[in-house]
Amino acid sequence: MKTGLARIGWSRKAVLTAAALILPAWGWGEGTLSALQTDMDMIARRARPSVVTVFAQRTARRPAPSGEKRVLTRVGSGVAVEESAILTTASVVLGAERVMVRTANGLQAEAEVAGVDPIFNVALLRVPSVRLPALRFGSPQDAEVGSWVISLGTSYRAQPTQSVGNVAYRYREPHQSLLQLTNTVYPGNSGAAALNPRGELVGIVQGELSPPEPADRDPEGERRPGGASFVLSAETVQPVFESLRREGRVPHGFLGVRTRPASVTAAEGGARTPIGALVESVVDGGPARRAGLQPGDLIVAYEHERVEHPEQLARWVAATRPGTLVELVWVREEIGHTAQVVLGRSPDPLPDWVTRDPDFDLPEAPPARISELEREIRRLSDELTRLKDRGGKEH
Amino acid sequence: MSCERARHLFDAYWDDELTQAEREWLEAHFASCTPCHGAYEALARTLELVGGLPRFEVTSGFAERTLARARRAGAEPDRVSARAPRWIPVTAAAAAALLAVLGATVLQWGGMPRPGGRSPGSVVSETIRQPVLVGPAPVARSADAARGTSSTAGMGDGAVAVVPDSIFDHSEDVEFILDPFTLRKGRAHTRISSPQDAPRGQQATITF
Repeated sequence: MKTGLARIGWSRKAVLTAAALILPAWGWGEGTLSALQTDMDMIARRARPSVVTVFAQRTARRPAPSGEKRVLTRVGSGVAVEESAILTTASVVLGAERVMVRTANGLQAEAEVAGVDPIFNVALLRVPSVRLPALRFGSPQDAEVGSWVISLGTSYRAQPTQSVGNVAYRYREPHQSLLQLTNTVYPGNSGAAALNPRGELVGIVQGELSPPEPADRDPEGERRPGGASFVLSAETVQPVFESLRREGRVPHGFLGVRTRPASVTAAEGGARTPIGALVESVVDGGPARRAGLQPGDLIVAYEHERVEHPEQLARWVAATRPGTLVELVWVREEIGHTAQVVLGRSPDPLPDWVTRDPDFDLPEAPPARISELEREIRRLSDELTRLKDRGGKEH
Repeated sequence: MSCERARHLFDAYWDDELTQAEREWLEAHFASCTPCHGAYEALARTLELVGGLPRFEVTSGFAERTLARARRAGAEPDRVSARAPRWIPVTAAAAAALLAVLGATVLQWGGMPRPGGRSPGSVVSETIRQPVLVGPAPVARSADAARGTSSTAGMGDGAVAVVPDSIFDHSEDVEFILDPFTLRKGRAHTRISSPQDAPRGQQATITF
């Protein structure tokens, strides 16, 4: 019986030998690092024409006593995903009266806002008078921890910015996937493109870690670049884009509850720990009512994730597609309750709580049964951890 | 019967075209009927997957070129023989071996650029599609543009001057957007910067 090597004909052996000789020789000609730079250069050159600067203008009045009108401009980046469709962030265009784009080769044109979603912080612009080379969406597998990412955007004076890094962390929140990158991003990069090494879109740049101090604490100085950047991943952006293209808005889930923050204090004057969303009222005929929620219930978990703030829960609910079956855990009179709830559709496309500061000083929780609640929360927290561990092992 | 009614409403529910009463009825039905809810989930997932498929675009004149090729193929006989001559692998192997010896010798003398001649900073020879203007050009509206001081002054034909130079001055009325994120207990939080000068943190309660 012939071995595997013996089965290969002599002519093929010759070709393989030649390849073995010649391929390492190529490596001597150009070092690995310079080859890497060449490849990065190619990806950026191919993708750069798809990246634009976005200018969004609105009129505002100066504070009294002058009260005069002035035009405020917000500048961000955008990326073409169709010939005349550009994705950017809601932060850049929300509330704008006029939007313009400037392409990498200096063309400038008016744009219309086809849809804005403040929950996912994504906006879709149409530029009928410009044809742009569109970027394709990459696969979620290209955005795992360690994957290489090239970010392309524009900053001051609409100048291009470029940075190479990798995915440092994935935040997998219910129905929303956020990537933390090591790439450096710059003011005006909101809406910039994050690309994989094939030049496909793996996400839209949103922001950076914490607001950096102005240089040398000079209030007039420019902000220093932050240490980490945040990108909404393509697996989240793509369905949002499809919804904005189809109907100009993203359908948000709706639970039908009115909630307020609740927290506990460890000691006199100590730090307050948020413990969930306290239900103040339940909308008649809404999903929460059907699931049996009542005023006074404390919602502590959503889809196996611990809820700390009402805004957090509201964001997760809104990011979930209407009609989805979700699991909700709440505490009533020291007893934990779990139910499956089919979410409804939110009537409000631009909920006003979206722009709320999550670090806002939370009001005190009602004092009643705080210690019991704490005990119950701890128990439910352990239970959730156990469930998640079990779920992880099963996968 | 109610399941049949529910399934008739699926498309309109996805498109948000139901009345409030219909929507409430359907959501209540979902809560009590697992098969209908499962069917809707499957429909929604399918619609999302189909909607997310990449769009393939062809270059202009593709249809004409394809039809012309098809006509030529129909008119001419197939010139490719069914089997390649036996001498091709032998010649290819000999050529490859010769190339290997030559290549290794030359490279040992002093190196050779990578095939294709790419090097850092070199001009990419391939054609990269650039943005182009189409249709009627928008009229310049800004005062700067009217004075002829727009940022596109001196650019080639086809550029449309709509962005005033004042935007590039980085004045106090121009803000470059990059949302701040904070990390807390392993989660990243952000608040999209609101242009509405909305009062922050004045709502103790929210409805969702």
